[in-house]
Amino acid sequence: MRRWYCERRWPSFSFRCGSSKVSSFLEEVGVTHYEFLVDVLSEKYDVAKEVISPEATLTELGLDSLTVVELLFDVEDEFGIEVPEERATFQTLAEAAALVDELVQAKGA
Amino acid sequence: MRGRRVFVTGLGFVSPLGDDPKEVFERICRGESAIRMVRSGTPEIGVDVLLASIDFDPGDRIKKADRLLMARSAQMAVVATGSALEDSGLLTDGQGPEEATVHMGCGLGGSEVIQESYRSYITRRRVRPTTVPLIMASAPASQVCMSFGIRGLAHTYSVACASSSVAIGEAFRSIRDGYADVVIAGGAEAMLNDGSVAAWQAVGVIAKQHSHGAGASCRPFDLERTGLVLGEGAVTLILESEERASARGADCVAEIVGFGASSDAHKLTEPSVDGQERAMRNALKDARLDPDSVGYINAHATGTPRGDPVEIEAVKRAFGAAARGVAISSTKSMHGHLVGASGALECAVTALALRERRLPPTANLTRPDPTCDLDCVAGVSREAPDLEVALSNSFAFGGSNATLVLRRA
Repeated sequence: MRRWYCERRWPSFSFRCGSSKVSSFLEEVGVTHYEFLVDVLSEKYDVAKEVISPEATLTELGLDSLTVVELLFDVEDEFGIEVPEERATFQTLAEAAALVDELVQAKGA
Repeated sequence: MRGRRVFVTGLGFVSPLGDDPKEVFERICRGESAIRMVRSGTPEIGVDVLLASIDFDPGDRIKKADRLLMARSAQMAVVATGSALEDSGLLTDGQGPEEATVHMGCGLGGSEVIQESYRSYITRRRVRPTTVPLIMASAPASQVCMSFGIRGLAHTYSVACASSSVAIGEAFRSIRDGYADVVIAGGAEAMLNDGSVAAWQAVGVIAKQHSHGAGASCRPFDLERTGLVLGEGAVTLILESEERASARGADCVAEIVGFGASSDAHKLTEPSVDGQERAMRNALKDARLDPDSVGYINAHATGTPRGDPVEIEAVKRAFGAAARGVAISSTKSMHGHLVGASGALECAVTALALRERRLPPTANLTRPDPTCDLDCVAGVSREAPDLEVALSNSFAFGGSNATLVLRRA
């Protein structure tokens, strides 16, 4: 029989973006913004962890203009920040994480 | 000029009665109901409502990242279409025929996403970036194209409860008239979120629970009928020209031989005998068939007190003396009203009735309403050894009527 569906299966995971529980958990264990991005990409966008690296561009990881803004929406919700449109010029994951770091620090200042 | 013949060569279901068309047809013939009492909304603010809902999980059939870009109705359309392409033998390495066209019916699009976006806007002034492309009614058709590499065209028909009958009718015409050789036709609807359900309840057409239980609550043509029951799902039919189907030795479920439509120009929600009669007449004229050649009608009949007798009267007028000889049933008594997907499910059930030569029953029809005094196949299915031609009716809010004519292949 022909199988037209893809090989991967959506795992049942309790991780939910935008929940403050997740946020405080992340802070407690010291997870960086980069690692949060990695988690969202692997859990929600099904990107294989082995292809994710700081140098990888979001395009390389399979995101397009729409899914990048969708990702930013979750980031904004998670850390209570707003990413100004003109600042969303990052290409790589490291650049995205650096921007989040900066905006979170600016918020705390 | 007569035009080319059009055959149904594949079926794919995501339905309240299951996903395997043959199994669904057997369940219908046994009179099994998918209707349950379900809590809609939250425990604090919500209601118990009769629904024919689906415990839907696309599993490994849609990639996780792709699901972020699909509302429930689009996901159902993709799964049903994958099954239909597989059933027709037209799926190669996960892709369908590139030259195919897509004709889908959908009433409300990404209904649950509309609800969530309004809730999010009102409570937080924040709306997800994916909202617009998820809620558009044309999303199921577009997602089908993207999922299976279909490049012909992707058209959506939003004609309320007649959406997918019109989609199939236009798909049939496009093959008959030489615009296409293979069409993916069907419908998808998933609006059982609490906001939409509440809106339907406000119209005042939803059934109340019957004393014999939830499954006995949708009772078309019965004296104790109280209304319709909403369902959800997606159904896809693969239509092919005779030349294409026979060249590849395709297994044909049934032939589509006619399509008729009409507009009531009457009332928003009140049906009209005249409009329904003209849809059936137009369809039979299109098929060049006389009413007495028709052995079965899959009725639109939703189980509302006002609607069902109108359809019976329309059949009497369109069929004349032949009305007494035709069997009519409403399978909505079991799978509920799938709104934009309703016509596709019922057209597929009609095709299976022709293939199996078996009349699906009207479930729960124990005390026939005297105003519905035709043969409404009460309770149990019947063999129909001479069944050759059948109709499938869909009559929508707004007064849009559509009738499909099918013949045994």
